[in-house]
Amino acid sequence: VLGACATDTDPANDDSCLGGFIQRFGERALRRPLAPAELAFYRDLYAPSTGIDPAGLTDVVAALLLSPSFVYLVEHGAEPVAGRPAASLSPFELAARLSYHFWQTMPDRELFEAARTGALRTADGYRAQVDRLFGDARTQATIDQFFQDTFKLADLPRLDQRNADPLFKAFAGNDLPGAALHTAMADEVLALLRHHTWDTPGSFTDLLSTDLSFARAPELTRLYGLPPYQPGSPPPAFAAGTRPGLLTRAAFLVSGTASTRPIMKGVFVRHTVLCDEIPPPPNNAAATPPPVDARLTTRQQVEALTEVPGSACQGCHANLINPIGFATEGFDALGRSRTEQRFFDERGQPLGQAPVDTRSVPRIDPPDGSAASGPADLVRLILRSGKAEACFARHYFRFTFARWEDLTADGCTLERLRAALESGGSLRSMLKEVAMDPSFRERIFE
Amino acid sequence: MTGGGSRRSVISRRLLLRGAGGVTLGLPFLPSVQSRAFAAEPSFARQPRFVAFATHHGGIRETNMFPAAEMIRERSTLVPGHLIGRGPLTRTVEGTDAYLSPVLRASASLLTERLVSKMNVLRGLDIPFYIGHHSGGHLGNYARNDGNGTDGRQAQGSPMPTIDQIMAWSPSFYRDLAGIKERVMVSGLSGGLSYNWSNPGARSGTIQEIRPETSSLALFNRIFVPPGSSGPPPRRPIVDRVLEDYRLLRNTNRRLSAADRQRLDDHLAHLAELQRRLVAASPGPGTQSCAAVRRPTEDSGRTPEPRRRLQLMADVVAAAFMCGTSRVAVLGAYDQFVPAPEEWHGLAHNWFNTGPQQLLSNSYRVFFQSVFLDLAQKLDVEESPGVTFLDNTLMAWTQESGMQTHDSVTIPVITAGSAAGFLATGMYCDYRNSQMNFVWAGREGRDPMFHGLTWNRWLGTVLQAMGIPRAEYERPGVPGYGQPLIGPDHKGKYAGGIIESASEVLPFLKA
Repeated sequence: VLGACATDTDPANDDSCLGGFIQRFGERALRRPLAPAELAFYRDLYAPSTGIDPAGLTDVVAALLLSPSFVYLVEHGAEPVAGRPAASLSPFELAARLSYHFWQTMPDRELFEAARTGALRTADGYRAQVDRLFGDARTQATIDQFFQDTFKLADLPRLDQRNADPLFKAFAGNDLPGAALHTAMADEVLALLRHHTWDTPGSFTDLLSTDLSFARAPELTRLYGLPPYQPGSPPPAFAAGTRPGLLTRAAFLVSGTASTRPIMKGVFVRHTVLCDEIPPPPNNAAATPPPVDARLTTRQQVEALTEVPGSACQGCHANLINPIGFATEGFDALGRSRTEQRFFDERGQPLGQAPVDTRSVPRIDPPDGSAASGPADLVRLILRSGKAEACFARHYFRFTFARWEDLTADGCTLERLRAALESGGSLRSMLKEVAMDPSFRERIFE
Repeated sequence: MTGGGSRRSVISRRLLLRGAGGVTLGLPFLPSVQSRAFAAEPSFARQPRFVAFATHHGGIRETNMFPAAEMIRERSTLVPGHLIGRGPLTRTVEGTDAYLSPVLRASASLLTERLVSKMNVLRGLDIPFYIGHHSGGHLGNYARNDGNGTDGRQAQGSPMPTIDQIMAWSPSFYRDLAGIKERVMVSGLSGGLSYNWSNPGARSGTIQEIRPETSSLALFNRIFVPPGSSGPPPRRPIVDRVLEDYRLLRNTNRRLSAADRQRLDDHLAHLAELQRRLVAASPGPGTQSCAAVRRPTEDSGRTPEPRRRLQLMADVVAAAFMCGTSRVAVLGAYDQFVPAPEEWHGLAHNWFNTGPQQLLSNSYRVFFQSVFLDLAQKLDVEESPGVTFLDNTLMAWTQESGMQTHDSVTIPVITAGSAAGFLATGMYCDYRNSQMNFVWAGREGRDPMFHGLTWNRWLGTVLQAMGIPRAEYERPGVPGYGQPLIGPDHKGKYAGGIIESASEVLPFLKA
């Protein structure tokens, strides 16, 4: 840890040996050079020890790792920003912000040197570091984390929990889920996002409308009726418009039961894709579900439960929630394509079947009464509204700054991110360019 | 300064900080503050303890949860228009089992007459608004709910510390912190139960969850030090220097945002508490019970079976009580007691159907027997002549909902122990007002429900049982503990004086 000076027989160099260590290790831990007073502080902490003492070193290391400047990303700012309670970040603060944003770890030596030499203060020097960090594999891992958080991929339920249930077995048929199917579905979504971000940089529109499949696990590709995706080869494609984009992938369709959940699908799109607020249901709305006929389609059951004219539920469910979920009812609860819903009794005996209806008026923008006949229309209306780009920009803002947005103070940044997506710019570019936004390089002090 | 958010790096830094706290384990530990028999001591010497068990969902038919109506032997008028009742809690023996109700059933060797005489079953305690799914209501932070309804959404705007934390930071409860290694042991299989200010001593900052320790071994290590490790530390603890480091930054003349200053204040407070724990223990012999405590070899964090996991955590709670290193514990269980936990939501929402009700009732029975009674028995050993650790404790098991999941009318409360003589025990108390039938629209044909007394009064009763004066926890004009919210569907359902009397100890309970 200390180098040869700690193990040689010369006690005269012990003091400089220790000082050098505190300076080097402190600089790494606190992500900036230590001020003279800080050096003295840690020297004093070692003081009961003399010479090279492991116990004293342990205290110094522990204290540095408990320091507020290590535990938190402390930002004091440098020059004030005219007209606002903000200051530009110092070079070392900026290096840390860049590094923690893209890599989720401390700056590497090169970035640290760019801060030390002042290169990070220049436009070219800063751009060079942003390019370098963004091009590093560590950024891909960070962006993966962003995608997983945004699309809640870790929340996917295991799908094999009902495998012993006769009804579920009858529903699944030859596709009874294995323990890892839900993971394969999440992996597929992540692969789709990675492909359009890194491999073949695409636009936000591509994410929502692509016909390409990135499913690799045979258990999943069997549900899709496509060959597995082999990285490095062209991805297989669904028939045009039959399964467009993210929202029709199994991860966003499965329920863990034999029935789809149009309400949950609708709420997911409203919350996660459109960033819409849905008011809470009236008190005790779920307490007394009326009995429903087992031979009604899921859509018909949902309509019977939540779209009763004059009921408190109808307002939101009939207009904002259910229609979005109905649009993807052409896929069953395992994500398989279907035109009819099959019914089974509790023992798994078939009761019959009925055609599914995917027509709806999704009201992506509530005043818009345009009809959709299925998922392709739903995606078209979502893209036409511009809301999904704004929402995605909002998610990325939260991920970048680790806080909720202030629609007034952060409005310009949000708009720049949104516009970068809406104008057909690449997703990859937007993910990088956030670091070029003025707000990334300053700190508000209030 | 960035300390929150969902980034993994931030979480791992927090973990690092917690790990660094483990350094304390190497420092001398002197275990015992001996409890005394409450009967022989003046009231100020009482050192009651509290254990909160919380299970999620509820949805148990009242006929399955509570003893038969015949057990009520005495009726009295609480206020005009509100009749309440009580009777001696009596077990029925059937084969090798004994029971108070279908859920409160166990082996007769566990549910003994002696233990029944130390229990109470309380029926008719309501959170008087539609709170929906929640975990914070058990201990008084109604704001921690899922916003399933308009009332719950409204409650989210007013978070509060939970009563376990009120105890933990009350000078009336912990008059002397010597030997107290953990003010509260928050543990169990689920979180969302315990909350406090980010700076508890100053009661400032934001209300934050106290995350549960899921490893019984880790919890044990926070409470105890292996034998032979005592003795003077080789060096002075560094906590005071770390504190100094924070103060230097906190008081810097460089820019810091208000939020950053608050975060530093919070962190300073936590470090101060760590320092207190480092220097708290002083040499002295342990109690006889403590001397028998051995470091466990099994860890709940490596045990898949939920019953066993909770038992292991409860073992640490019992050990800490016996050694005087903590006096409060919170243990949460989620949906681990049904055969397929992922089914719980569907089961709970179909509580009124026979099959789901059987599964739900059975899961709670398993919890009662395997966890609640298990700890009660372990604590029911003599602490001082004629008085057991259980006598000096209040164990309380509460459920998330009443009979109807999401609904908080008649949340069952099962207790054991007298809180060092504060509470009378061995009773079945029915606080419901059967003159005011409570029926949601469309619920015809279901079991009737009746409003009773408020949850705020129950929480206030617990705090008073712990020796905390009302002046310490009540807010002006808000009797009891908790938000005073009354939902629109509940307004006018309580007889005059019921809401206003929530400051008082629950009827029948004061010894």
